[in-house]
Amino acid sequence: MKLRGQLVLSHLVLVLASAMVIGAVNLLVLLGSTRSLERQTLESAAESASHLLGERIAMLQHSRDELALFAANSGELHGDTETLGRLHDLLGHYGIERVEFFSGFRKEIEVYRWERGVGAHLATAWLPQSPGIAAQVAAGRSATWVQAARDEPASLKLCTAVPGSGEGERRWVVVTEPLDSGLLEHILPAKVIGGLENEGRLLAAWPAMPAGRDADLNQIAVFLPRGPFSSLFSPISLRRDTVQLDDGSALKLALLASPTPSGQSLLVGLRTWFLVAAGGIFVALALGSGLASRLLAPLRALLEGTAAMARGHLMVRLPTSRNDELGALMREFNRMADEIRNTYLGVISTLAEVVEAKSHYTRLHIEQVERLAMATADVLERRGWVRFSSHQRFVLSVAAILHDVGKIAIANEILNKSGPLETHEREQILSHPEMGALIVERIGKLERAAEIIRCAHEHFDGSGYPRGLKGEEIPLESRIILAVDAFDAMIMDRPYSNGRPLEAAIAELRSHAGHQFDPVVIEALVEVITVEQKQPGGAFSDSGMYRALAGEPTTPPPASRE
Amino acid sequence: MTACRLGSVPPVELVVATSWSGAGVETLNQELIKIGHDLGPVSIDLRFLSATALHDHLLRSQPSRSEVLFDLALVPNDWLGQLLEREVIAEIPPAQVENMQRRLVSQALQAVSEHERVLACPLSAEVLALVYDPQRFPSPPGSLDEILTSPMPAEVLPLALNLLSPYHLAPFVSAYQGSLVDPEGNLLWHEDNLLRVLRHLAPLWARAGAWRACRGDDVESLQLQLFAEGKLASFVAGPELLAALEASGRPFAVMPLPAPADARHPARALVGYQCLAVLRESRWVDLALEVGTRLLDDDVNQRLNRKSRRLPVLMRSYQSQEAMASAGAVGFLRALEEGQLFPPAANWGEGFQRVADRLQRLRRQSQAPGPEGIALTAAGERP
Repeated sequence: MKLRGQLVLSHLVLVLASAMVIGAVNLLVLLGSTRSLERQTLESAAESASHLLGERIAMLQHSRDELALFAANSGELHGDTETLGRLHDLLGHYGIERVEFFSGFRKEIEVYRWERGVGAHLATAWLPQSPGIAAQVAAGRSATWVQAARDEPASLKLCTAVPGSGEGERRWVVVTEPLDSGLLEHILPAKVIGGLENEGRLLAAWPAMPAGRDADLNQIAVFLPRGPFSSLFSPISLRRDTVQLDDGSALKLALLASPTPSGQSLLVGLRTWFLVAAGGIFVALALGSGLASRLLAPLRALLEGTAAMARGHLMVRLPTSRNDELGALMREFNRMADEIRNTYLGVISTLAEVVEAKSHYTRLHIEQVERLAMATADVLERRGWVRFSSHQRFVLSVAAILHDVGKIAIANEILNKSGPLETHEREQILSHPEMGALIVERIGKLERAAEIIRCAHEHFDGSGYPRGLKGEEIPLESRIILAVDAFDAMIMDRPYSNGRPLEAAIAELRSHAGHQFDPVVIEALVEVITVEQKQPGGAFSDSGMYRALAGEPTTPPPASRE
Repeated sequence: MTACRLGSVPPVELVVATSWSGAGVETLNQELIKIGHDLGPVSIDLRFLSATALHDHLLRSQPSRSEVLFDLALVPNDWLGQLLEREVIAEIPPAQVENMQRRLVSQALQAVSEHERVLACPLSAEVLALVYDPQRFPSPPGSLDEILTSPMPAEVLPLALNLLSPYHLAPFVSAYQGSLVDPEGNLLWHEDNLLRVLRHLAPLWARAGAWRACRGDDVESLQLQLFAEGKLASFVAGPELLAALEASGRPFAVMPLPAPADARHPARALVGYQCLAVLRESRWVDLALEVGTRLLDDDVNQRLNRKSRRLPVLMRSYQSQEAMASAGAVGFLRALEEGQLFPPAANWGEGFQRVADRLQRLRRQSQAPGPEGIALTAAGERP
């Protein structure tokens, strides 16, 4: 995987891991607080329901006492309509479902309301199953107990005794409250379902009593409100003793609350998690990508600089604005590139000196050729006909300096011969571009310069040598060197003759434009010469390598990657 | 926490107000819970209020949007006119009306419609009929007089009804005057006809306990107990007592109320409908309407009425004879068929309420009036 990918991925992993941790912590906190809130809500509901149940039982006890007073004042009760009417009024007033009056074991009268307390819907057997309660009742003390035979609906019985008509006789008033969903519906707050239990048995449930003998409160959990993800949580249940009965047992309130808030919290938590993760991914991608770009740009420049250097682009320089390790690395690279370039320049300098020594040319000619070539290249660039990279300028410089390096392989006699050349001598002379190219090639990394040198005597119309190339087949740099070399030769004073005047040289150049020379190059050269004539030194490129090699001050080439 | 703010979508909670009780409210609650589950995360709470409290809340208060306590209310159809007049309830949209037209008996739809506007979803029908002991009346009594004059043991009352309720007296009043509604939808209630009914019933009050059995706080329970104990031969009751009657172990039969012998018209009982109205200020009107529609689904509505022993409104219930599951139910259905529908008009409801208020004065009279005191009694004065 590329470095950019690795950087982005590492950021992504880091941020996602952070998001996971943040999300998980957030979720856990949220769920924890929601569950706690659910429990608190259920406890409040239990508190409220207990209070209401307590109030209801207090009301039943009060009504039982009222009915006992009624019995005590009424003598033996007969089921006449008036008595029944008065009792129904009392039942209606207190909301009692059933009351029975007993004289001994004989039932005097029984009154019930139609809605819940009728007939088989209610346990009508009143004698307590618990021997302790039975003894308490028999002794004439008030008692409250749950009547919950297996095969009939459960009820709460509140019994009290009043003196009978005869000596030592007792009458009992038994108030019955059905323990059913109707009671629970009135005492349970909204959204809470639950039941009443006694001694581990579920007696009643709201909104529906589960079927079967071993009914379980969890069976009514299906009635709990549902919400998103609520099925992932178990309902919160709570059991609370509400009424202490006289048989020692307690009437227990068992409540269930919907885990809907937990489901909603989970949804919110997941949504938050998703948002944090999505935001994190975005930030990770942006940061990772930005950091990767910042790190990779200099690395890529270094890579490209190294590759360019390997291809012989000796003018490569890297920007050194960074102050970090990468900046240091790039500075080291530039230093290394400088050393390599200097090594090359040393070799070129040596060769140039050999050429100077070998031929008639003065050092000035080599310098002039290079400077004119570079100035011509500038003009061509300015006119928009061509664009030279720093490497190309370097190569042009090298080629201009060494354009006649092949002459070192030609015997001085031939080279300096003033008379006509023999055929074999001429062949030697004609071979010097090839020889020069071979010499430069052997330096290494200067293949382009070698090619320019090889073609530096080719004519625009194909009449040159060694290969008779023409027009665009000839490298531009070769065409430039040919023109400036010829011009400088024309104006150069020789020991045996004076150089031509500039105007004559220009005319000569123009007369050969399109034949020997590239007309475009000639026009650029003429501009160089003209400007130079008006403002000496103004037209020449100030990057003359040869002058630098000779120890004269120059302006260094601009920093560039190539 | 940020997370809490993100979960800002409020949970949908619908509150249904009802004055139903017993098996009715239990069944209704179960069905609403199921509907809530089916609708997604919708919580439907059932809030119980007495009929008076519900009436006061809906008609005497003008809740602002922020104080809306209920989204739906289960009300008798005679409240609808007033509720509409006070802009408390929303109309049922045409698409749902079409569905109701296809599936409901026409009378049910008529009971909740005013000037072609449908105001609520009728869930069940209500009608009063005569519950009688077939051992006391081997054949169905042909008239009120036949009931009152049948030979009975002294401790057995031939008839009981609730004198404080205009619903109980209305069939007999209408037997003398015909319709109880004028063309404008006003209640027609002639005092002289009420007087004739009370005079007709006067021999009944001569019996011990009869006056007491016809008025009281919980007169239905008293009548049922007297009937179950064989001390009452017949009484006027609604179908909601069927379960209690069946549980009492006493044989019973049900028939439409017989008219007085001298009346020119049949004693047509008033037919009412319990219907679910959507409150206009509800935040979830569409959802509330959907709940109403779902309570009219075949299975849901049949279950609701079967368990609460109310009379069905779906044609399917009648076609499948589901509605005629018991002999008692058939009697009430006959009464429904022969009964008269009262309109959901505001003026009818107000007129009926005035009559009810007047009849409440009878509550104060602990002694039955003699024949000469009937007029004063009917006028609400002590004879």
